[in-house]
Amino acid sequence: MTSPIQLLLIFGTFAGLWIYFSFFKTVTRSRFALMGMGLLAAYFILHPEALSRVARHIGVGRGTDLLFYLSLLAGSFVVLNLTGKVAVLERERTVLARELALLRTELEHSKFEAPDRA
Amino acid sequence: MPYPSPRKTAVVIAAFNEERVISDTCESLWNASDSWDVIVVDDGSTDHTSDQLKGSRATLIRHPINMGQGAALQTGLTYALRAGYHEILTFDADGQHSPKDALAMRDLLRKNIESCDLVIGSRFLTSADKAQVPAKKQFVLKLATWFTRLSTGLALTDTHNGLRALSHKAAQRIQITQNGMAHASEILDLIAKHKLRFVEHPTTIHYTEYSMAKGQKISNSVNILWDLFTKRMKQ
Repeated sequence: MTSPIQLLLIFGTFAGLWIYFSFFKTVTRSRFALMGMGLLAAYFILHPEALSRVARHIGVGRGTDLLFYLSLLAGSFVVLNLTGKVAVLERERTVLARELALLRTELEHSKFEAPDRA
Repeated sequence: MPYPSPRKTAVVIAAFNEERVISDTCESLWNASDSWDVIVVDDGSTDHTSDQLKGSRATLIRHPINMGQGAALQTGLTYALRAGYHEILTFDADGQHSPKDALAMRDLLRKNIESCDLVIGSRFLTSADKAQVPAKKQFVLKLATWFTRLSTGLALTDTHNGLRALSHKAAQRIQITQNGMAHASEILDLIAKHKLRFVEHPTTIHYTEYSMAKGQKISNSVNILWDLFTKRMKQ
């Protein structure tokens, strides 16, 4: 029988996916992959013993341990990905701020020199 | 482009919250020579650094946000390159460098422009200059020298001296991407990468309470090493 917490977890999983798809543009392949992961998550929420079977099969022990290790891996991946994106943003921000500063200086000079050129 | 000067040398100063000293630093440069232009890059200061220079001869470039000394130096270099300066010097804002040393380095570069791309200041070429450096700083700088020799093959005696004289060619090759303090090591990496020819020149550093408080903290060397390590990983 399905318990309320299982229903809540499944609802949370699909609500999270819906919010993600609504707010971020994703390519179709990623969309399918995420939907697949959502369905898999829902299956393991409904059948936790299946996750334990998979865990025993690959030599991890318990399903919760497998989930913990997978979360660690996923978390590390997300952190690395975000770090890379922040580095790119910082580089772009530097270029923009530099060009703005140089442009402002050049404009101030041209204002200063205008009478000479007239 | 409307650049103001017919002079051949630009002195680039990166300044962040230097309202107390920036005017004196610029004045000391103009007192030492009239043959250079001073370009101050205000790196998003929250004090009145820019106001101190209003009405002065300095060319003021203001970053809209604080990005770090490396970013400010690169902005100054970019400006100087676009303006067509022949020699570009980098000089610390806190007044610890000697304008006389800067002038001597500029002249040395100019005299040897066929065989030399840049002149790098060193605090360890004479025992008198070396004696000015606090013992703890000497130890950290020795470590940095050793690390630089190992990673770039450059035989330098001082790897983190902010006083440098670059030819136009060297400034074109040196594109600083490290916004923070790791830019000093990045410059050395680029010198090695582009096989730029350099000589060292003795420099006297006047450590004051102000410059010691503003200057590089020894503990920050760990952050610099981390920045360089991650940069290498990306390459």
